[in-house]
Amino acid sequence: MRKLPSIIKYCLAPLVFTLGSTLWALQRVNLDDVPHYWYSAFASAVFVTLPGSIAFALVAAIIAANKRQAKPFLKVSRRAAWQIIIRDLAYPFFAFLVSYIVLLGYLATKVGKASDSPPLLIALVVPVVASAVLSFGYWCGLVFPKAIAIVLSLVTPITWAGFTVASQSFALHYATGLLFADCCRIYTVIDNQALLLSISLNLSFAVVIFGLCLRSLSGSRNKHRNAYALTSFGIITMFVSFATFGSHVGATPITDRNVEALVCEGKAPEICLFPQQSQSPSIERAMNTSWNNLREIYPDIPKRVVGSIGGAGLIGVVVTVHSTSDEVAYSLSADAIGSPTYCEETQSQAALRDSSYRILQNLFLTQASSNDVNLDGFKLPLNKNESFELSKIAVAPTSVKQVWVKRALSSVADCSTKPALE
Amino acid sequence: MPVLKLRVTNVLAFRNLAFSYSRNKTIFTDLNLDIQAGRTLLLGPNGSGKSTLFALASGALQPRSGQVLAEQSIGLLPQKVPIFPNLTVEEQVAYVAWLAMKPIKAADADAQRSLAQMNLNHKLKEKPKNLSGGELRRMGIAGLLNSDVETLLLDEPTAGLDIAQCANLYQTLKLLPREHNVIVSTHQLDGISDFFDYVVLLFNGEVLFDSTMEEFMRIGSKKENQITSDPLVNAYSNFVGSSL
Repeated sequence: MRKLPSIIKYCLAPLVFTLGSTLWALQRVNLDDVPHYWYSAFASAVFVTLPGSIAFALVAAIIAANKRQAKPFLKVSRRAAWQIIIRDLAYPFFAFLVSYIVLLGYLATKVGKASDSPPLLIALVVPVVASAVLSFGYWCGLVFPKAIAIVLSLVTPITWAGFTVASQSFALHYATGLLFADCCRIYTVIDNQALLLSISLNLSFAVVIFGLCLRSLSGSRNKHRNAYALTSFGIITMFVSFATFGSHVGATPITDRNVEALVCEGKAPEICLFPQQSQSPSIERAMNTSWNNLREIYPDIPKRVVGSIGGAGLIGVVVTVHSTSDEVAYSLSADAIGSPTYCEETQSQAALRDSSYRILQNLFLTQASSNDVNLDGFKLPLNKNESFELSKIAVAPTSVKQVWVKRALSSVADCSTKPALE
Repeated sequence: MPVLKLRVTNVLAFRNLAFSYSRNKTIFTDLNLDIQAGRTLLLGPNGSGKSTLFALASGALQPRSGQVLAEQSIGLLPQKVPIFPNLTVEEQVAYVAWLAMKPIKAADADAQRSLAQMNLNHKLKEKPKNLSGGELRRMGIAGLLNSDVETLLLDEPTAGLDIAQCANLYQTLKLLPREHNVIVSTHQLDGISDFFDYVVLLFNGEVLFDSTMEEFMRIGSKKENQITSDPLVNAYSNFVGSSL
């Protein structure tokens, strides 16, 4: 059997490192929470850019550093500089993509039958990030002494990747963050504009740094070319940076799922799920029971429960192939209350409003529980006063509870309604 | 200026060649030289312009004026053999051929044959850092052979080699088919064998001698190094006299 080319051996180590560290990290999060959306799998797999950026930039730097001694020879070779670079970086680039594809495949096994389309724009982030970090590592190896090139190629890409993940101005922040979303419901998507900016920013870096690599290998005597390259680099960086920071980027609510595909059953409640969400009778029984229990203290509870994002007159629930009855019931209870609105008020007033919200949460969870559903684990910790208030309401007649709940629910969404504790 | 195709029997010719590295460092002012097919020794002291002439012939440098005419494809092995430390000897020879525009599959397939021509078939999987100085030069020549060049320019291939290594190198070169034209530059006469057909002596950018090896040896054996009023003849006599 023919021996493997040396360059392939160079790619195996970063591939193993990238996949190993990424899969190791994924073992530490609950992948059962990843809902069955291609969107989630594609976005979460972008996580591979973090370790991959370090490992593959380092390999590119070492490959280029091995060329440095022979640069005068390469400058007079008949091959164009771009061909030399492409040949050197093709295998690492391919290996980078393989690590993404493997991770995507792994996550795809966790998402069940995905009901959405694969978001190819997210997938495009990985090749452009790969191009940028590989070009940068290669350039470091060509220009700097090996030790400096190795340090630079290690530090810069991870700083850049870390910055783009940590900063809310970059799509990577949301892509990797989707994995750890609250109770893992995909209720947002990454703004396409954020993705496009992330792609264009990394692509610009890749193109400019590739140009610097070309210049380093071709050894042009055109003295103006340095100035042109630096000016272009400055203009591109400024333009894309301004466009990035000056734009609305980030996560936006999902609005594009085809709700017409929902299949509805029952009347009160009317439970509407996507075909792939139909789980087991126990799930639907839990939803029915919890809804009916809640209705006793909340007569105006929306009659329609959908396995999607909620809205006016709707309760949205999270139902995945891995969901338990408890989780679905919790989701129903939480969405029946909705998210609290931020109100411009004094600190003590805000504390009262928050107490009211927390008591309401626990009251609903108690009410939604049944023989089949135990929601104690989802209850919020309450202080002494809050616990006292809750115990008072819990033993009050149903009509009193209904009045209290109505006022408490109103104060969650409407700042003009005073909290139910006053 | 591109290297032009030569329409005569010579493999390489320089016409009215002028070149300088800077205003104060002129190498050639009006060089005219024809190099015939066969094996040519380009002799001259350090700084006489041998490496510059090779660089001009290979297109690595451009003349200020004049022409470089080449009948065949040319490959240059620099004095410092280019090394790619991450590649094995076999991969390096294939890579050099690829750099010379040979298709990648053919470059890979022919690398072993070229290394066998240079008696390096036992070093295929070695890294270049493990080769001796002589083996490194032979690896460089194998790279040129794999590049399918017809004229090989070897810049100081014996520099740093002992007499045994020099002899080994020339022995290996002797085994090359005659269709390969070989031009070797050196500043030392030690170890030169009967490998060469022609000798060109370069001194301060001027051609002092351009004839057959027999003629060169005849001059050396007669020690025609008497002092004359001609500075070029004096220089030639001194160099040959001191080197032989």
